[in-house]
Amino acid sequence: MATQTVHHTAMTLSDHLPILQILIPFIAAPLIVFIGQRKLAWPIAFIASATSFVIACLLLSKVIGGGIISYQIGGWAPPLGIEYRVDAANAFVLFLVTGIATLVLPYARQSVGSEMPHKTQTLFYALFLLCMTGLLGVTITADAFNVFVFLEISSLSTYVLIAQGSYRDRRALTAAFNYLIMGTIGATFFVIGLGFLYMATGTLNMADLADKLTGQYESRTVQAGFAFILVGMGLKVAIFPLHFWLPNAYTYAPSAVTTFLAATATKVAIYVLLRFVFSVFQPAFLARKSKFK
Amino acid sequence: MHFFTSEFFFGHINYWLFIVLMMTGLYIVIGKGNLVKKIVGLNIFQTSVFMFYISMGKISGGTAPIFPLDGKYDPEIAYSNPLPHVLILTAIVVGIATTSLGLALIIRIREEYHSIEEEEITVIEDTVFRSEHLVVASQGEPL
Amino acid sequence: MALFSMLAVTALSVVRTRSLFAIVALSGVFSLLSALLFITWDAVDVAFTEAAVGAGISTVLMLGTLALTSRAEKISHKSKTIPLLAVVLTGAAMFYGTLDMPNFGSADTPVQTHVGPDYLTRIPEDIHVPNAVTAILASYRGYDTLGETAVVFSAGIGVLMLISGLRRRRRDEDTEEDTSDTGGDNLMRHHLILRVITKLLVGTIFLFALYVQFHGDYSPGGGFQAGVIMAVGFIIYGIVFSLDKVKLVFPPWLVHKLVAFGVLLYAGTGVYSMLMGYGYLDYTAIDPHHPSHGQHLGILIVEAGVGITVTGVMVAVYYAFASRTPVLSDEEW
Repeated sequence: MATQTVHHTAMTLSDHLPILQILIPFIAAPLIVFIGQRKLAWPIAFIASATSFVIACLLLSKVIGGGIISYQIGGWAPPLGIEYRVDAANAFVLFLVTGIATLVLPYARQSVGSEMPHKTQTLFYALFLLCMTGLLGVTITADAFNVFVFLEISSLSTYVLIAQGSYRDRRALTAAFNYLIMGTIGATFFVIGLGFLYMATGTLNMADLADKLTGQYESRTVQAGFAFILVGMGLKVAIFPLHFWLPNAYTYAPSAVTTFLAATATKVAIYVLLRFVFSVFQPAFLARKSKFK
Repeated sequence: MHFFTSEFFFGHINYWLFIVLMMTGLYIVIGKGNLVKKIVGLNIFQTSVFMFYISMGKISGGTAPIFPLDGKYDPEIAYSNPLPHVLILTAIVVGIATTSLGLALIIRIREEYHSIEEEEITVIEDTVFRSEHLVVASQGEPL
Repeated sequence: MALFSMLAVTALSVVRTRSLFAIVALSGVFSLLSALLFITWDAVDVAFTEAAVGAGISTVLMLGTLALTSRAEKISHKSKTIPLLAVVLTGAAMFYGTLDMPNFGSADTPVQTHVGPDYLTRIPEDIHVPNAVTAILASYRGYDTLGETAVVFSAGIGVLMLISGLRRRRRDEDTEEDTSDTGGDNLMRHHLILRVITKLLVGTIFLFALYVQFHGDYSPGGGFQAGVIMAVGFIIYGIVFSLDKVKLVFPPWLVHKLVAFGVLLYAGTGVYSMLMGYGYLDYTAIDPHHPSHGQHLGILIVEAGVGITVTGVMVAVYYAFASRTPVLSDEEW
């Protein structure tokens, strides 16, 4: 095999901001587990979330004027590879999530200290960071299947975080279990819907999806796919009438977790929903629907 | 209407069978009260969705997307689309992760409630809830 | 079609059966049957994983759960109409969606013409890896796989947080559990044949796991499957000898470190490529002059990361389940 000349301009730190946004809390989580020191867990978590808040501010300042930053992971251009895409809307959600996480953590330190046994505290911070990573990943990605993967990172950690309330009230366990069942059904519905759209388009990148879907709005496969994505995300966010599991989950979870989740998780899911409704499906799809009725 | 041709029927019967399997799984999840059974139902539901995905990638007369060792792509050979395979590999892993977490929760629930039946647990929770409120109402202090 | 009817019969029996033990066995059967279906549809990697996960690990975990909970489902008085209605509605919506789907197996669908063939034509040039599934999994969509590793990681530490070794500190009134014997681990002491065969088998399992791990780019397999098989090796050893023995071989602290290390190795590969001035997880950075070499090496490294984390998590979950005292004594089985 001949040596290939590779044309390559080195990327700078500021080019990497979109991925660093996710990466810092993402790497901090296994780091906490790897180090395994309870005393270091909180500082690492706090530094990670504060840094990622700073990155979110930088990103927001870059795109606030209407710009779009696209980042190709693995160096593969979409739709072959996975793309991260920051625009003013999701930069704001990123700003919100990282900001709230940074605010909640100092408060969590006390409440976790009093509500949980020492042994699980280290892991608690790792899971907290993973939950945050999942939420950020869902917000920033431009790949529909990547949404599912990061959604599950945040969901799985959420189930456990809620169950940690069981040291105060055992009902946290059943609340977490119900959430696990509903959340998994929701995620599976989302995957079904995605499968339908993939069937009609052959692609998973959101921009490409939007492109390929134009002109296919009459297809029943696309309509059913849209409905399944809507219901699936609806179950996850607990939009009326799919909300019945939510009150318990938030009542019995540890207070720090409730604060964080109530302020972020639902907003992220609504953002994803809006993104599918208005960006992947153009408004023309809904207009057509109302005519149909 | 092309819906009534036998070609359409045999080209779609697969999908319909998956729907039957998926719905059986979903029914077990929401219709049954035993927590372990719910998890099994969830597995059946998800596995059927996986089958649906894999069937999308299949090409008639195609073969597994593994190239010969010399690594050459021969356009003459029809390979089934590998992308759904990749997605489903990821989904299977997510599935087992959820399953193990669900089972761990069941173990904890069993320890706290001595039951893994949804109805019994609801009864216990309701009784506890009511007694807490009764105590608060009558004596002015919780348990 | 025969497979289908078997799948349907299995699923329906799960609805009817009350014995949880039978249900778990049926769920394993369902997984194996679906694995066969995957093979007939050319998804060999998926079949491999489904067999290892559905019929292997998840059956083991479910049996473990049964030992800690109960054996039979009680008769439910739950209303059946609402669930049935929901299920029929969902099914109808999906049926509606299938009406505009292309026929099964046709070659001119968007799925077969848009992105899929691009992978097939580009992989031999870009990556030089015979197994297209591995190439996409670890490189083109390597970031998804990193996310998947993180899901396994969070599930692992989640299980640890929920049921780590800490024995239950429950109220005093409950004494029924504490009387059950803890000797379950040693019950296999008298089965000489089992012990000898296990000793032979465990080595073979580990070898096979390593083969699957490092041969994943040529044939079906890869980090995840290898990790599961590796973990099964430890679990078999633990079941036949004892939990304490296997904990001597593979101590829990090491398991925890490895769980985190696998994720760090994977994510770290990406950080390395960033430091070299390339995009995150761009394996070209590993060998800039031979991009396809770099790709190949990168795939090996991240697959190793996946394998390590999956082994660690599965073993950790097994430890967590096995160190709880069963509420069912062995006679009850």
